[in-house]
Amino acid sequence: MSCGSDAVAYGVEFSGLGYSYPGSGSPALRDITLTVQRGEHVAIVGPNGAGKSTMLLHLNGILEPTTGSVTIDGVGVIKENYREIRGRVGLVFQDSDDQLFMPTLLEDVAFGPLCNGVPKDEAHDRAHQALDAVGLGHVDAHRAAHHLSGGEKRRAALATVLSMDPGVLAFDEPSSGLDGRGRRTIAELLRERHQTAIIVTHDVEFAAAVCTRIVILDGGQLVVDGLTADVLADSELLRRHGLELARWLYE
Amino acid sequence: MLAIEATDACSRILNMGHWKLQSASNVDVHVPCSIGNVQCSSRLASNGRLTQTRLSMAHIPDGFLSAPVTAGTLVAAGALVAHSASRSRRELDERAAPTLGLATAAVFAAQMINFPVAAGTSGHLMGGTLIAVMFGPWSAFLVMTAVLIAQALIFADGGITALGANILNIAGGGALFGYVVYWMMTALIGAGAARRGLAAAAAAFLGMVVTGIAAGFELGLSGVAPTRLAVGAMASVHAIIGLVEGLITGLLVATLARKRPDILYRVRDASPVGAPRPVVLASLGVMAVLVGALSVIASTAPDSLERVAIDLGFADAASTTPWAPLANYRAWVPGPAGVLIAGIVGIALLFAGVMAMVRALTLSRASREG
Amino acid sequence: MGFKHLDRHAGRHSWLSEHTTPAQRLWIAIAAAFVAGLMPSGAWRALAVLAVAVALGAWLARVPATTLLSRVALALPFFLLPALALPVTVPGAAVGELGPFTITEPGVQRALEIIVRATLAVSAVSILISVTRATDLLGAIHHLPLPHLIKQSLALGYRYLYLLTDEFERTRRALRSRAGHTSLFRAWRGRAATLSHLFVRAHARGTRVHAAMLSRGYRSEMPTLAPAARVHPIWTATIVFSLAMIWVAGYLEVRG
Repeated sequence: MSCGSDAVAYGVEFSGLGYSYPGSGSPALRDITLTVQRGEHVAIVGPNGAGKSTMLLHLNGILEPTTGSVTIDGVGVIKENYREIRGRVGLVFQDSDDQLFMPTLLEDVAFGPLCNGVPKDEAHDRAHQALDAVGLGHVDAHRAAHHLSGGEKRRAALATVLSMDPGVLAFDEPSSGLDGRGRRTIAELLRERHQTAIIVTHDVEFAAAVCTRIVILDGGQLVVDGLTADVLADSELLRRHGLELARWLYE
Repeated sequence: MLAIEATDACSRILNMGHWKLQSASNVDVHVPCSIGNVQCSSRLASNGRLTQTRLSMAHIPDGFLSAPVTAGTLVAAGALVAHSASRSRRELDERAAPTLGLATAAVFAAQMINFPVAAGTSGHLMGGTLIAVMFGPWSAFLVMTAVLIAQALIFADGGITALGANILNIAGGGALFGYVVYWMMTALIGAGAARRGLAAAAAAFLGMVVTGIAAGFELGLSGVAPTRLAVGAMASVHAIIGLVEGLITGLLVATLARKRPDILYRVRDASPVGAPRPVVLASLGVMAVLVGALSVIASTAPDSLERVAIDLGFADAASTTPWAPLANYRAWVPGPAGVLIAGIVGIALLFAGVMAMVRALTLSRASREG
Repeated sequence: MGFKHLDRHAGRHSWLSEHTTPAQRLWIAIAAAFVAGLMPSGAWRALAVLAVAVALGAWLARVPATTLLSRVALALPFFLLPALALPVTVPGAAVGELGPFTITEPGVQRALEIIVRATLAVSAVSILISVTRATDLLGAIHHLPLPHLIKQSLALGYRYLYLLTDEFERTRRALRSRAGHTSLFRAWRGRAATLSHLFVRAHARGTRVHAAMLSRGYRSEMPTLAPAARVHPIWTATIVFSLAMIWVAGYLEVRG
């Protein structure tokens, strides 16, 4: 497993992506076109209900686009490629408890490799490496994830996808519900990653700490795409899209 | 009060028999007792007053069922489990595991919530019929089986040799039989939220009675008690638990049907309006015949006890005291005709009650709208 | 909400926990339950031998007698009534009177027999599960010939029971802070609301867990890791064989 600098990284391309939830009149996503370079860390920010999480679920085919397409390093996210795509993209959900569903932590982290045909012994080793990589090497991995704290659960959720050795990491609100220290630990862990990272959040400061590029999504449309420094400098723009920065950051 | 009850009940289920010290100040002592196979766990407060009794259906332990009954029920339950696994897999596809897993957890959690009945007694939901209404009969059968296996293997509640019988009684009665009744009733009275609630209430009640009849039958066949006595006692005791089960299930289904109809299992072929009278009568007839047939079989089945007595040579002894004990209990156990009549009258009353309530609801709505 | 008492004796080292794996212990428990539960009627000497074996098992597993007794006390009373009816319903030589009923000797024998069989079976199962952690038991259940769906439901059910109980604890506290002295009707309505929340939440979580499983390559089979410890099954085989021999002895005792 490659947790270090030799990690693979894939480019991601959304082209003209549109999506409507079944039975709902207005589309949740409209004509999204976005290219993410290999190894780039991009934050998708926006107010609640902007379609951020919906966009994330298109990365590995949990949702299928109504129009347009998504490709991961040239491989289209379509049913025939799901198997390959799901090994390439590691999706970390907002509620870590959704991600940690096995009776023990070790089985949770080994789940991805095992589902992708990795032999049991190797999956076992990979799981331990991934737990070490997120700083949970000291935890008794033969116990249920229920015993972990909120921050530890979030890191464990990250380990469940790192063990699959993905080239793209996608996070849904990685900083929500964490205390200051938990938030910083996660931010540091994400910053170290050499994989491509797409981070959905409405925590602008967290986005600034981890990503070099910020994209603002509002009403299902991409409205801003720029370097972190440029976007943060325009407080009027942020306010217009329902986002706030703490005072200390723009002074 | 509610908090104490829920934690108490929770630990009752999970603690299985440890004398329990709850919180620092209050010492609770569980006094287990039993009526038929209704298990009561009573709570004595520190001042020695009986504060709460919990009615819940217990599972048959090891040692009560004879080898043929054990083998028969295990084979039958195994076949049903295999069949429902393939049906559930077909219906839910790859969603099956997470859906059923969460349903299993929810049933376990739901069984911890106590519903006060009267005089410090409370009951709780078993959940078979409710899960059948939410996820369909086959998935519900699997969920209840998983719950029973966990109770037997992890909490030592219910025997391992009796697992087949417990699955047939509880999962079969609540999920399968309960679902059939629910499906018939919604076809008869319509599928509005209140009507679905009523149908589910009746289904959960009858499912529980069937659970009792089946348990009594198995105990009778095993020679633990005369079949007629066992079936009578189990059915009547389960009818009491069934009232609680029916009320809770009805309330929940009515609430879910109003707020989240999308998560309920789609009832097939349910006519939206009330069915014509002949259909009502026909279903009534079928139900009555079913219950009647069951009770007749139960009461005419040769008492295995009598056979055991003859086999072991007690028949001679018995002739000197000519079936004295049997004569005693026969005096107060109704014969086949009595059971049959009681069954038919009971079901007819139930249907009549449901129909009357539906009519009242329809009339009140019509008067509101008109 | 704690479940720790379940694993109270699980961490303890004992002869049994060192010479058997959880899966092997589960098989022993099943064998013991079958031997005790299906012991032929009247095989008193075999039952006595089995009782000694169970006591030996409790000693080898270092399970305190109080734990065992309290488990038995809770599991047994369920069915005492049908058993207690036996002395007056089984025909045979009368040994006494109880109100209008006649107590018979074979009736008393049968009642005792059922109680002893049930006690031994519950004790044997309790010994084996109280030295095994719940997660290990779940792993052991994976070795049983059960449909995958049931094993998966058990594994997921165990994991999310914690969460659901935490969630309803919160709902319940909210309800409780709102309601003062409540009527029976209100109490039921409140609890029904709590329960419907519980089921709606469980359903929603099921959907989300499904998405999380899919995105890690799940295709309707839940993989498991190889068991950590491997223990030679010689002891398990010996124990199961001895138990089977006790049953055969009981059968011969009644026959011969």
